[in-house]
Amino acid sequence: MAERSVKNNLITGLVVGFLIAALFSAFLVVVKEENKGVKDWLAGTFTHHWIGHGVLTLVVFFMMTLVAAKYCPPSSEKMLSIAIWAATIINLLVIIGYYVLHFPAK
Amino acid sequence: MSVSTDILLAAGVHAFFGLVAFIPAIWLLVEVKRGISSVKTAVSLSLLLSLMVWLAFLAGGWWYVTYYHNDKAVIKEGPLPWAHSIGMEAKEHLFFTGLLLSTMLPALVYAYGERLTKGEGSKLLLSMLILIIIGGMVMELLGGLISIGAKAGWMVKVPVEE
Repeated sequence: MAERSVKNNLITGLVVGFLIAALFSAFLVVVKEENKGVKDWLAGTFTHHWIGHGVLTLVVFFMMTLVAAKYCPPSSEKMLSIAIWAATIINLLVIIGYYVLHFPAK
Repeated sequence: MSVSTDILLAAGVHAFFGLVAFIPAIWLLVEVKRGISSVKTAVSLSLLLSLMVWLAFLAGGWWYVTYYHNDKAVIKEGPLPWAHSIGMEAKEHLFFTGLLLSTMLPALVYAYGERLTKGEGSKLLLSMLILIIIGGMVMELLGGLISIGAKAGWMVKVPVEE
């Protein structure tokens, strides 16, 4: 376990922020594709649903990085690496899986 | 600026920056694998990588929201509709993950600082760089499939008699 310091908190914060933002982005794909109202709201608010998706994902990333840097205890490098791999693989499987399963409807 | 120049610039610049991003990514991967001797070099490479991915993202995003709807309609009516329904849908959303990874990379390199020269942080950076490089290859592959889907769609739509 790494000791608490501003830089170690930042490292943990960034990885936790990424973990939550990657899962949020995958979740938002399913939610907006299954709920026309959500997709329309994103398009109406941000001019295009994809821009809204990107803005919200970045906002979640930066906010959760700040929150996690403040409140999460520093983790080992191994745990942080596992978190990065897990978040990316889940994000990939949910997004590709969703569109493959819903082809040709989408 | 004419529409055709816009299209050439946006599509070309998007692919160009995406490809250029591989240079600092692979360079930094090798540096981390061999053991970082200069933190300044690592910071510069990570910043360059992040900048290239952001430029690819902005150019591609602008192309996507401005012009892609034409290709989308043609692809969906063409012989390879999955090029949009799976290829483009996956690409436009997976890109956010690569964007996040490349955005946080310089901050992580900065946060580890001189500790990188002692090997600390190398596992985490290696994981991220491998994911960025594999992700970049997936983006290139999907981009190629989408282009082929559009080309096939336009060929069917506008047949030319010999």
